[in-house]
Amino acid sequence: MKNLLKQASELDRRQFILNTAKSLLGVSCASSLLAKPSFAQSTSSIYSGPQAKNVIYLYMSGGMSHLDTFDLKQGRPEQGPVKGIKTNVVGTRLSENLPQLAKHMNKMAVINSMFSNQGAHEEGRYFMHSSYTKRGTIQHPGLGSWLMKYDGNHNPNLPGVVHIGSVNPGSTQGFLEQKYAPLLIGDPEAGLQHSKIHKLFTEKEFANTQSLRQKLDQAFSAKYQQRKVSSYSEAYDDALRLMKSDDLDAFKVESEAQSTRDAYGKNSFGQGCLLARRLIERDVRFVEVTLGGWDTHTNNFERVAENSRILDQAMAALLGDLEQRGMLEETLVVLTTEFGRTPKINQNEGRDHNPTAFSSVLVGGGIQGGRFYGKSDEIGKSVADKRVTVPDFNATIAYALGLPIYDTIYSPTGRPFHIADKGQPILELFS
Amino acid sequence: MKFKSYLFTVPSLLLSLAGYSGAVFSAQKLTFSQDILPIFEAKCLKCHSDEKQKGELRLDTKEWILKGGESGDVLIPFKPEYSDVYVLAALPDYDPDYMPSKGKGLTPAELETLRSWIQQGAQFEVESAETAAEASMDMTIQQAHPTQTEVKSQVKIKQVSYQLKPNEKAAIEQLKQLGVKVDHVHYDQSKYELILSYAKLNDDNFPQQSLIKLADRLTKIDFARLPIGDASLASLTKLSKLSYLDLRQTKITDKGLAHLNDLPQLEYLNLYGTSISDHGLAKLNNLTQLKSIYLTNTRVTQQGIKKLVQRYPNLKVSYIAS
Ligand code: HEC
Repeated sequence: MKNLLKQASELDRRQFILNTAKSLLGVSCASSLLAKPSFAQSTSSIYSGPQAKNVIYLYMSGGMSHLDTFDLKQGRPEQGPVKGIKTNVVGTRLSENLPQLAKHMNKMAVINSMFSNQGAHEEGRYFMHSSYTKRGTIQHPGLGSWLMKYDGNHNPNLPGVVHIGSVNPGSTQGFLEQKYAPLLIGDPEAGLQHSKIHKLFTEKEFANTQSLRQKLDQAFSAKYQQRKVSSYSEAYDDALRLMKSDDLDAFKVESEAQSTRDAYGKNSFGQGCLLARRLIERDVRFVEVTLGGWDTHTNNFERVAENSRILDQAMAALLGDLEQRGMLEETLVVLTTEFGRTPKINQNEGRDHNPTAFSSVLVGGGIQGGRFYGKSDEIGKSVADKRVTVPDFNATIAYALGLPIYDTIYSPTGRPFHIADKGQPILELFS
Repeated sequence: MKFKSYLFTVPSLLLSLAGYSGAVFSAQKLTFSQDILPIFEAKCLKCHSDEKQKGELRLDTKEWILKGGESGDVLIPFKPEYSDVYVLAALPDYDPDYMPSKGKGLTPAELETLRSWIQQGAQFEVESAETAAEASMDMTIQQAHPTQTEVKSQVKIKQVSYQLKPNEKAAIEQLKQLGVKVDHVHYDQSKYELILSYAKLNDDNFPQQSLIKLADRLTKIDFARLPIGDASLASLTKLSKLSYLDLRQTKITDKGLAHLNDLPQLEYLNLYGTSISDHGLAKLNNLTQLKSIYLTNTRVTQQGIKKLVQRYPNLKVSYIAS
């Protein structure tokens, strides 16, 4: 025991353990952090094994049709009108809806055996983001907040978790401390331009999210009573640091060349991805960008094509940019959604919810690309091979980040939790 | 309320800190039929057996219990803290997820019996002496792994123990004081990586000595956007274990690049957004391990890259002519 503690004092997480010990009343952690476990690796190259420091998480809200994007069933009537195209990896095909991404297939691991047991949007989103099903009154933290809790900021001047577009269910700090909450940027092009003015706190924010604007608001209005509530003064310090920082430039997508802005697409998801790249360049740890509109119960084929155009352009530009900057080694790019769509085409030319098989994509951070992992059955209704549950998927992300997925963290009510519940990482994707 | 959760938390914290395992009161192995079923009958089966299956869960037989409920497994042998049958019953009674959802809950003694039963491996029947011996061997194997499911996917967690030398410790402290982020490498806990970008550093206050003291452990260094130049590069030559060097948007020039030839392990070299030209590239001639180089937004030309690739046929060059 003594030995463990001595070792702990050498670890960077020392502060975390101290905080934890102090906050027995709050979230307590009886973890093996005391001697940080690491995963055994046979080789020690920076080109094998988990390498991710930061995450860009692209969330397709509404349920992205796997059949019309990453999991083709060509020759089956269930496929509908969508055709396949070649990618830059010999022998593989993606949907014609993704012509730009097809040129990045060599970087991507496409998982076509995703499985969820949540068939409704809100519950599905919650599960995908937190690895836990919505139950009772407890709020589970999202991966970004877990990352902050265990590993902290790398850039002291910027928030660690930023969500662009919206904060999805299950992606908040949950039962973790307020300071791990994501910062919400509603409009990527507006960025943080108002952070110098404290009057502009009008936007109605997601109820459980402490946006930076709210932090500022609290900070200013509480200026003369801040000593009362220590977290207020913490927020105040953060806000001041951010306002003084050169890193604020990170939020200014308008300082990019017009050609770059156009390359990502002239829409908020595209500009959101550009902003994500700028933030990750400055070592923000976790940026989530949401693209809605995937709930295609009617008119599936037109709407998926339209949405795919936005996704395809933005994600391809992002992957290209990260590659040129040498950032794909340490940035994990995630593309996911709450569920897929049914093989059966309904009478409105639509597809309905299909949680029992869908697709997600992982790129960078040690993931070896150019491959498909797992299979759905011949029509794409259920998983046929190598099922990846939602917790497995999140455990894989956590593993890429070097997070201790088997550590137990206790919620304020004394209940044990794990970063990705009982999920198991897909080790095969890293070699 | 607060107090209650405090009381609840502390014992479990202490137990796990001490790595405490095994039954508290019984030396003999607990079984479902003898020890657990009576408890479930009294407190749980009203809602979790043939009549009602709340949460799509039945708790009356081995098969049903192992099948789990609507949110999956409820029993993980050897792991009470992963097993919802225990976890939910051990919640404070004001928790909305507390089980039983109505009626009298388990007594502390019953709870402890349930916990011990799972901790011992969740035996269902009383066993003969022989099978008991076999099972106990089984158990030691399984206990080496955190849960059964982990055995399935072969994730091994290795506790790497290593000792930092006093001067290494001092170096880490000094670097942290400067605002350098010091962390372990994911794949090898005894190796370190540094992010210097947010320390206020330049060539005049470059922490050369601290870096050299840590040389045996330094695998990755990120200098991105720091205003450091060739003088700082010159002081990296002793970092012979370095495999990842990010010099994105720093002030290094062609002159300084020759110093990198002293880094025999270098695999990743990021020169994005620097003023490097073909002259600088020509100086890289000793990097046998180099796998990737990043040259976009530099003054490098196609000619320079052609020559580089002649020397390093397997090198992945990232470059877009501007
Ligand atoms: C008065 C009825 C009632 C009693 C008695 C009861 N439960 Fe439950 N139990 C429920 C209900 C209702 C649910 C579903 C809760 C939900 O998911 O919202 C449930 C769900 C569960 C679950 C989660 C199943 C899943 O997969 O989601 C477990 C585990 C459980 N109960 C264990 C127990 C245990 C152990 C006992 C006895 C100590 C017990 N229950 C007694 C009503 C009861």
